[in-house]
Amino acid sequence: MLVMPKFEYVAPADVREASRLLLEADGKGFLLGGGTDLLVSVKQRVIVPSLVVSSRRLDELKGIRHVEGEGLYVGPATRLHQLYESPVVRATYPLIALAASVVGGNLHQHMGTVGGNLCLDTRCWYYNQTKFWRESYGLCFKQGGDACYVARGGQLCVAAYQGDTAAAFAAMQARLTIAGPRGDRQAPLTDLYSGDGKTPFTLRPGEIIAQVFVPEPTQPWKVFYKKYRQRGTIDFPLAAVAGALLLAADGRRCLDARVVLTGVHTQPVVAERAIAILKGNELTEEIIQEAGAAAAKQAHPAKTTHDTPQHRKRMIAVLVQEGIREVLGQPASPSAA
Amino acid sequence: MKTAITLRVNGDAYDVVVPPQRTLLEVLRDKLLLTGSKQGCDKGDCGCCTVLIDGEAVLSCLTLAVEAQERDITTIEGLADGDVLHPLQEAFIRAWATQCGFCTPGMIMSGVALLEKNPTPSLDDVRRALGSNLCRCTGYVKIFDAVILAAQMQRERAAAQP
Ligand SMILES: Cc1cc2nc3c(=O)[nH]c(=O)nc-3n(C[C@H](O)[C@H](O)[C@H](O)COP(=O)(O)OP(=O)(O)OC[C@H]3O[C@@H](n4cnc5c(N)ncnc54)[C@H](O)[C@@H]3O)c2cc1C
Ligand code: SF4
Ligand code: FES
Ligand code: FES
Repeated sequence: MLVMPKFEYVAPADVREASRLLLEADGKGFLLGGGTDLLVSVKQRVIVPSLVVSSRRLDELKGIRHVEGEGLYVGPATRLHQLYESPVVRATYPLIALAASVVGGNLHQHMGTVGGNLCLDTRCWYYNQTKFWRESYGLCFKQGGDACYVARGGQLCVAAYQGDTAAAFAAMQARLTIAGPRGDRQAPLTDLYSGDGKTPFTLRPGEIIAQVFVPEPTQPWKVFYKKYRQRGTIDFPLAAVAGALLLAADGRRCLDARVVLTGVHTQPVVAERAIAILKGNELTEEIIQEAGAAAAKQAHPAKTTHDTPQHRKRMIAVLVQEGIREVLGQPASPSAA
Repeated sequence: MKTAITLRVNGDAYDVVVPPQRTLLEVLRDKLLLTGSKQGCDKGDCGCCTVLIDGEAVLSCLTLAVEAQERDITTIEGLADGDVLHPLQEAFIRAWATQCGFCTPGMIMSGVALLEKNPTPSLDDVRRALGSNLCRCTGYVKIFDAVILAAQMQRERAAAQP
């Protein structure tokens, strides 16, 4: 039984008001989406909030709106299943539907929100544990202590960002509207992540993601989302790749590519090197292998999970290769051909 | 600060006073004494606390009770109609889908949510819908069989109705 510590709870109906309340809570206020990440952390007391601000009545944060010729507006309080159950998301933004459909298990997809998924706290074997467990070990950087048990001697927390939809949204070049106590600002989704596992987000005090905008794809991109996890029905990604390829009429030459990795660093990683290899080239088996290897080089997993960093890195290459072959309509493994 | 809320559970309204950090599962089990919903991991991993809120299956261990006010909550206790079991309960017995039984209420609630939306599920649909529910005993095969059987029984019951 994991009893939560006391906190205050409010359910405002206005985003600006929610933002003000969070600001006043001075770092101890948390917005509640589906609670499938936040409440676990509160139960384990890695987070001890003084105030929980519910998004239950924040109707302006809910729902999906598609504007033809412009793009998709997703409210951050939208549940993940609503993404893959939406005909327009499936038809026009399939990468996002794919990623949302493999977050945790069915119940996590029904409870979890888009905002909560993008702001999923970074994870580590030494962090996602009960207070009793953590104290018996000694607190690490991310918990306010003075050591890291993963990168011993290091000065930064390297806990992994293991959210799924961020990679898909990033590959689709999503932009955020962020509401703050002093008004709204816009930012590319990739700017949400700081790269520091201890404080993984660049949101300022009181700021809330108010909208996620995905520009409508003007070309027929072919997409894949490949995820490696321990159990296929429920687990976090140990390594995952969101990919989109724009192929020439011959179906072989790659005009443009987007490859984003997740689960293998403190933030989602745009695999620039793999993209450079794919772009402009015919997708021969050699190029596919090279692109996979280049993506793996940009993965920097640390020993934050039960799986080894070497294996997760290796899996990035495999996932990139499998994804490209899938898009080309080839068998997953060349030897199976 | 404790708040007075009304929870609508299985069609009955309950007035309770709870602090905001109390989960729906804790209130169901400890205050309303509806102990059918189980507490396993208590952190979203196992699904044995699954209940329906407005027809949608959710993990009650990760739902604050205050978030469930003004909504319709259904627990395993609310499925049977007097002595007549819900088709899925009946199917669990017929298909031998229970061993220790700890996962059973959660499995059944996830199954009920599925059958409400999809009365003719494929095996893959069943596997997916029950994906957040863990069973440490059965090996799942008979549980999936039971959901498919329940779908069939539901169709038969509907056809038999005048
Ligand atoms: C067993 C299990 C398996 C899981 N597997 C996966 C997985 O495979 N992939 C995956 O990605 N996740 C996984 N999760 C984590 C989680 O379920 C999802 O990431 C989910 O989408 C989180 O959304 P939420 O609404 O529940 O977040 P919450 O818990 O409500 O919030 C998470 C964080 O986001 C912040 N937040 C929420 N909305 C906003 C907003 N609009 N603006 C700013 N901050 C905001 C909250 O304050 C909090 O800090 C898993 C969880 C469990 C328990
Ligand atoms: S990476 Fe190091 S500092 Fe970060 S949570 Fe893990 S042990 Fe703690
Ligand atoms: S008790 Fe709720 S998921 Fe395990
Ligand atoms: S019957 Fe024992 S856990 Fe499922």
